[in-house]
Amino acid sequence: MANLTLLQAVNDGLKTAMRDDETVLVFGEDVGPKGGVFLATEGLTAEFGEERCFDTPLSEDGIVGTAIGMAMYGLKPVAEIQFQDFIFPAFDQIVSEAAKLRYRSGGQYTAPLVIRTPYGGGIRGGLYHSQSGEAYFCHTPGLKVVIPSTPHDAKGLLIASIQDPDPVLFLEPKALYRTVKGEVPEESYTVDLSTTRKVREGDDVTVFCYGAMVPVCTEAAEHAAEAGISVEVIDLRTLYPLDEESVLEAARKTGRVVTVHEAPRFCGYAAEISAIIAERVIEYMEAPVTRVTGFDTPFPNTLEHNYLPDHRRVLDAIERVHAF
Amino acid sequence: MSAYEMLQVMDADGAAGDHDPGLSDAELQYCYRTMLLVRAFDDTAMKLQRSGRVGFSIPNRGIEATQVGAASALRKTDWIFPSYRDFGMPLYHGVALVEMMNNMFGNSLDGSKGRQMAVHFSFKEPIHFLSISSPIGTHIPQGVGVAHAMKMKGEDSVALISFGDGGTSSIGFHSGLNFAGVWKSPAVFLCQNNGYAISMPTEKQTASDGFAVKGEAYGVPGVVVDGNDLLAMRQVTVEAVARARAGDGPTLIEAVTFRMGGHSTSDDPTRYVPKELVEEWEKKDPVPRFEAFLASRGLWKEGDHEAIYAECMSEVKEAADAAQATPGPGLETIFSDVYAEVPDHIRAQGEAAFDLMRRKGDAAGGGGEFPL
Amino acid sequence: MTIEFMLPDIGEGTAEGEIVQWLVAAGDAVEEHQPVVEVMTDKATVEIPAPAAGVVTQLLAEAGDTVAVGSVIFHLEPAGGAAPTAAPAPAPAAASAPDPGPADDEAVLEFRLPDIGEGTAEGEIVRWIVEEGAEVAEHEAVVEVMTDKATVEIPAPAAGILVKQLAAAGETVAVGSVIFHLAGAGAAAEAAPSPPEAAPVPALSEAAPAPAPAATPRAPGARVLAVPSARRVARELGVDLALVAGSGQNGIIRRADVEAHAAGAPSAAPVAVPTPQTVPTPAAAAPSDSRQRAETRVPFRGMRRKIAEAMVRSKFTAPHFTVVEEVDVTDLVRIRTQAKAIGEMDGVKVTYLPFIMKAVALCLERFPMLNGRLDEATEEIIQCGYADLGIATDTPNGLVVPVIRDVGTKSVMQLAKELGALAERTREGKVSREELAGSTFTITNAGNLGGILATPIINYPDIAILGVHRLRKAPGVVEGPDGDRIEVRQFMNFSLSVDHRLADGADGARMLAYLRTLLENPGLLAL
Repeated sequence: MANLTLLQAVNDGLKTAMRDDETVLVFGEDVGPKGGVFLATEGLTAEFGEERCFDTPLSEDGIVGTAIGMAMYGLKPVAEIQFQDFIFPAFDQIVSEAAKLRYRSGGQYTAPLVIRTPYGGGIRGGLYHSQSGEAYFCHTPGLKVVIPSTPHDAKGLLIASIQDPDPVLFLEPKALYRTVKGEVPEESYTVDLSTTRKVREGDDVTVFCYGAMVPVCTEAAEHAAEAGISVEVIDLRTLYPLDEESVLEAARKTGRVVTVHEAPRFCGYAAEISAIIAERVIEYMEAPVTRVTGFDTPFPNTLEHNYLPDHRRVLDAIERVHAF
Repeated sequence: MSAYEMLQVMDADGAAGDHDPGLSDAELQYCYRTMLLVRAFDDTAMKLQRSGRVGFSIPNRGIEATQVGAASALRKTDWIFPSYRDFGMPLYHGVALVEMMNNMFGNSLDGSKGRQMAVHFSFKEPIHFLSISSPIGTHIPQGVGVAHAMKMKGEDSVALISFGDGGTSSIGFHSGLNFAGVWKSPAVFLCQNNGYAISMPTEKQTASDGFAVKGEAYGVPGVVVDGNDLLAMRQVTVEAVARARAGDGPTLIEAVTFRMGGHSTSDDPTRYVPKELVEEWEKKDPVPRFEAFLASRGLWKEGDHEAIYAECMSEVKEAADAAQATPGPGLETIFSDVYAEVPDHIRAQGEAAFDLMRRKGDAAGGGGEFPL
Repeated sequence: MTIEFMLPDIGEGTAEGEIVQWLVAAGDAVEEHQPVVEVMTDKATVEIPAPAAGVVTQLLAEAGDTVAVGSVIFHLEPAGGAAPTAAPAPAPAAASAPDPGPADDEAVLEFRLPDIGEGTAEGEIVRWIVEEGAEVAEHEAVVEVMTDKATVEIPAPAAGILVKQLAAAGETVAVGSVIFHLAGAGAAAEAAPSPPEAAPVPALSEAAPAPAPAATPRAPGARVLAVPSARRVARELGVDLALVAGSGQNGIIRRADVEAHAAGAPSAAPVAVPTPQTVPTPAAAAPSDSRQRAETRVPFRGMRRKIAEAMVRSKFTAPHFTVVEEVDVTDLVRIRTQAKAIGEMDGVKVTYLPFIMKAVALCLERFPMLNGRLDEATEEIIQCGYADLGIATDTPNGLVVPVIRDVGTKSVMQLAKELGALAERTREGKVSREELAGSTFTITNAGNLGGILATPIINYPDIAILGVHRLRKAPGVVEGPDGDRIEVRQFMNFSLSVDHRLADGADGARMLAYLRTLLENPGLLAL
């Protein structure tokens, strides 16, 4: 066991996967000798050489397009997009190509690739280093969207994503890269995709969250406990395909639901959670199915701390649904 | 490097023969002063970042001649589509230091109302300097669009579109150059080949023989110029601008220079830039080279650098202090300017945010750390 | 002031750094930007410069220490006045901020103009009765609003302070728009009933929840509001939701309310704090009088029933609609003084009440739709042709409402006599159960509560109730042959509350206008 930050766990996951499977490649901008702008790929070029961990020209569409090609040909590319905010030139390749290849070719061609990218706010990165675009990609059948919130999950989910036969978008909460530490097994292991994780047991209110919102919700739950409200916190982990049954079970358990994400509210991921609950377990709801989200505005820099849901805002929602 | 010959006006020691730079003595001294101002701003910004007073900065050291030389060829009615490493352009055209510092500090007087990261400036006057976004190359086709509109309106203005060597790999570069070539847009493309795109040296960025040559693929003539030679920069840009104004279409300028600092304050270049390369380029510092030229024209003497630099530092400090003392933007700035009118759903979110602040106080973590 | 210098986040998202070496010693003077300490992160080794000129007074970490971003690493005493001041935290309410509401931290109740008459879409603010900043009691009239149906007084849904009026006199506002802000609306009920077409589940604004919810009157035309789990449990337990009182916001039924109802316990919700007039008296059998006393039975169907279907029946939650009239009773006072003298000769105490009762009975002959009650069993509204008036009376044992029968057939003096006898029996506790039941209309004395206006609570299941306020002197305008003049006059206000499910507000307004005519011209009472 090692005590690693989430970032180190990603690095360890890459190394482990690359050691076990020589078809695994890592590439992207500045991932080679520099080791990535966050150092997620540090040491990979040194250990595995430039054929397996290398830099690319400044071209996201090229990174993903070529990754699809490599994957088609039997390699296991793990492409890095430097910031999720920069992924959009590659949107066409991801949505039109990677996600639809198996379907349109009847399985003749598939794209088992992983795209890793840091997402989310919390580092004063302003409009273009803070976006949470998971909703765009969860709206894409054929694609998988995974977001770890702990070092243990980061390594296990990453290895599982690399082994997965379908294209996976692996979103890493950059705010947690260095601020969250945990025990990580040294050997290779997987955490199954499409499973949720119960962070905290509770009976009065259920909070669904992922990524950097997990510690925020955990803190809010602790404050709520002081006020006598027992809060269950669920880390969704794989946003798509979602473990719907565990979501419904946790929602039904308390009948009071709050879903939290940084991304803007309208058509955000929480809307999907709310819709699923409304369709399947509405009769167990004691209060409006509630969301705490970023505002429907671009992501501001100086006022980032006002934009991001924090424990005050989550606690406020918990109190409201509890009192309804 | 490039198959093209690199244009120079001054030699390594600043000698320029009889070259007529097309600038008066006062204008030449203004160029010099601006270079020092860029350096002073850059140096101060780095220190502000390292002492936690601003969140981020981008080193401009070494690029002064490229920026100021190019900027000197423009009129106030031209539009600049900058990269994020172009401090010299707004400074040359008279943007106040405090405006730039307001952006660095993200305060309530910032034109962008504190919404953007530092160095992502946006100015409309005294010259249009398009709001900088972080994704690379997205501004290139936009600049072509502006150039096209200028042409449609029968104006002889031009768009100067600036980007780095890395920017030529972006999707925007390809679209932009291609459109500009077909439309014969009055655009001047300035590729600042400063050696690196974050950690990527140019030989990994492209297999092309340099960057000016890329214009050929799109029917856009290219030219390579010594980016540390202010007069050469000016000359090449003046010519490209004249072509554009005359309706002869775009030009791709490759300015060969060097990024003396890292990519940004989050980057340590010593990890990937060979020390020897840095030392080699130290010797090509554009500032002393231009000083030598000025001296040869009787426009500079020993002690001028220190004196003028000290003035510049003092002005920059004054601007920084003023910006730092200015309060941050109000909470309502999160909710305005999303649309022309504030729609109901955003208004409701704003009111809820104010209500929450009244009831539960402000969010913690205003200082840059992640609020938990 | 000493600057406590915190290690900044040097590169995006670094969390800590190791002190490599101090470049100055404690006590050294430094210039602004002068490097003070060398720090290594996993991204880079950097020199941290001084934020201002001054003296480094204290080093708070040692070389080799790993310190978290945000921890104080040294103290700097800035040189006199040289330090740039750090920007104060962003002020929450800048010039263009939306109205920040009350100065105190309590939740502000946004009171929305209810649908006063079936389907009115808007109302005109006639006048504000309560000033901004003034305290209001629950049910106290706040503002007078005119719709195409009637002019009504809107009462405060709870006690508090009227912090802001959001419309001016003369302004027309839409039903559902916020017309005033009430602060400190604490333990009492939530905002007044929302417009009937509003979403059944109230939108969850980010205001604090009402701490002690009480059953609130349901809006005219609203469906039964119940949370989904309450509906499920109601179905499973066979409970009719319409019979359950809701303890949630805006009267919404919670699961616990249904469960409590099924268990036979009184509803978990406390009833809206009753004013002394409220005594739920179930409709009893009509008095066994051999006289043919006309009744009209109106089927309680269609729109009326549809509206009423949503209502709670076991406890009083009828939607009230109050009309208020100010009556110049100067002439009545004179006549009563004369009558009092005559009464004393017979040992009969003559108050204003018999005059009022007589006037009310005459009104009810003209407006029978306000005279009666709801018969739940047969689902009919009974509009009576006779006036059995309940008189709300305070006794040592509490409030009772004895009934005087056939008021319309009796003279003022007869009524005075009967009232006196009844009052005595009531005080002695000797009034019979039959005498306490079967009112068709109730009169209550609101005068001793203070104020000049109130919204009396209907004596369920009556259709209406009349509150009588205290007699007072005030300047009045008297028209004369030489024009208008100001005189000291006597006034009495009357508040008529109508169950809006069962009768129109317009009728209430008209009745009250007729009452005024009668009382201002008391000679008409003899007719």
